[in-house]
Amino acid sequence: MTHVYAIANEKGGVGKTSVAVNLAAAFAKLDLHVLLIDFDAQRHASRWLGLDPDGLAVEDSFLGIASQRRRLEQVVRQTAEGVDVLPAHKDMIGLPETLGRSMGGGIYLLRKALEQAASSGYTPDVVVLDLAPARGPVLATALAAATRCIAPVQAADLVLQSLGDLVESLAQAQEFNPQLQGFSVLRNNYSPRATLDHAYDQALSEVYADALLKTTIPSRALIRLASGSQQSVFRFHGPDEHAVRGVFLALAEELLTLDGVPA
Amino acid sequence: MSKRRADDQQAQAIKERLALRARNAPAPAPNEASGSPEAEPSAQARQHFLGPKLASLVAGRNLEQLPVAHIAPELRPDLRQPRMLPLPDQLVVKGETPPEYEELVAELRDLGASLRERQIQPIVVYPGTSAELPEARYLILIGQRRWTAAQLVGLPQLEAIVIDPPDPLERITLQFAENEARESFSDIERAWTLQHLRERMGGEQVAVHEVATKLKLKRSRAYQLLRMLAFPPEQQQMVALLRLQERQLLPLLDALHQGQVSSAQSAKILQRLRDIAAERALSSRQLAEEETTRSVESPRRSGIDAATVARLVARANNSELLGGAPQAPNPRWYQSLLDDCSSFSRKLRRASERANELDAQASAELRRRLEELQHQAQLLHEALEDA
Repeated sequence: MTHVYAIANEKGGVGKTSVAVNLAAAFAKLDLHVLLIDFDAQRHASRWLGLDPDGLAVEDSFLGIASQRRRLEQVVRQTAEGVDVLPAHKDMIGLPETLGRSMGGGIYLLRKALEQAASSGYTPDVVVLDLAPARGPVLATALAAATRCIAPVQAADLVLQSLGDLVESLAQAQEFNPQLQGFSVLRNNYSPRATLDHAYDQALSEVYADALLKTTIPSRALIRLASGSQQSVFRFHGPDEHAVRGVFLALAEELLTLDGVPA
Repeated sequence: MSKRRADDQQAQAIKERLALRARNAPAPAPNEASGSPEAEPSAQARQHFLGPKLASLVAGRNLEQLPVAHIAPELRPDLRQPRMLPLPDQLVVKGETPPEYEELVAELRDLGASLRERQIQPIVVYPGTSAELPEARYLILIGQRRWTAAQLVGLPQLEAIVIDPPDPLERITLQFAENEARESFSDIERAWTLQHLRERMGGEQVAVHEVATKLKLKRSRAYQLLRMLAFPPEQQQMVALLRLQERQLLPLLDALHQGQVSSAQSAKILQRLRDIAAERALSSRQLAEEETTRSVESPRRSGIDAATVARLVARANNSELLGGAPQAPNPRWYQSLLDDCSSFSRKLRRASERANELDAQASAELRRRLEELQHQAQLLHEALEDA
């Protein structure tokens, strides 16, 4: 069974890409076969994992799959960190429209692509979807293929609102994707000393108690520096690296404990 | 241990935990002689051995349930494992635990409780007798800590693999390899092992780096560890109990080696560290109970860092000086780094004026070094902001 994790939050800047890339690298460190699909036209995830998305043709991204000119296993690339990547392309800014033009909003495009790849022998243990901050057809397509949705949140205003909207989208998605069993809220960029963080923690625990992941990503310079250097924390070197890598490994472990280890 | 190894071991530990959850098989039936239902759990148990040499020693051997009373640790002085692990009757004397062993006993009781539920890795024993424990028929090669825990909680049996008695050098390297992987193995125990192995290999005439190679340690690391043996034996015991690592103790070790701190002062400093560790352990236990978020740090750290030690060393120096100038509260590297910064800054300024003297290759090399420097400077800058 493949775990498909959709990293989603319609607010920008909560750390979706950082979480997606570092979590994917952590899974790879645990010797799982990981595929990261970059759905964001900003293409950060692709770059962090060592690819040059501007040197690629538009068909070599999910757009190639959406236009049915490519199959998934044809466009997947291997990277040095052991994570397979389906890179993004800047033209993906038009992905919502492309999907909108397809029959049914292209909602099963990703799911079908993964299924077809599986029958051709490409079966990653884990798929991580790095989504752009948006609601709409892309989120729907992602949720139609996901087994768990992970929403990174920061201790900032309006977070609870955006989560509420996401939960609604999830409820709708579950109607056409019964495999979507899990919803998790991941606290990101937290500083345990700040009283503000405690206050949000409390609010989150009251409303989303069951969904809150125990692992919390702390606010650490190394994570910011790694993203600034366009690397995952498993490749970037800094004084904190062991502890920070441990956090993402712990997150991977928590998810695998919730969802089971892929056989 | 090296950062890379520490990283790999984090990942390895997580994989093992997950594998265990995934298999979730019922505990193996006691004492079945190599039937195929036994083979599966044996194979699983064997997988947990972390060194290849040990794995080959135990290959093909069956798991056995042995009564704890028939097992004893090897206590002969030249064969005894150099670890901080008192015997059960030293840990519980007339029903009470001596205060310096309280934390250790608490840990061992926890270990015993989890062993009662499930013993993940069998201990490794070989046939032998013990003068101190006459009932014993087996001696422990790997697993003394677990045996001690079993004794403390009254667990009657332990899962074990019986092998042939190992030769003395092999014994030391095997135990070291297994211990390395355990969190509870501290730097001073590594130092003891180094010294022990050196003696077995022939004593002072054997070069330190030969001993280091046998334990897969870097030569510089071996020297670092051996420096810890500058403490007199009772102080070494305290260091072991507190699990203070070489890096944390560096200020004190430097001061000892340079004669700035006497042995008596060092004893006082270690006692003060013990008090601080106890205070911090108490407060972190309280915090842990209140925490909603999960801590990634391992539960039992001594709570001492190098800065604390440096502070105590400076204070010790201070209190001995009569009317002398008060020592700077900051660690010694700070002043040295400041001096380096000023002189380096001057050099860079001068170099800027003469940049055209360099050829293309030299120029490129220097630019590369400067980039590296900028990177390090930025890391330090961020770390200082975070501190």
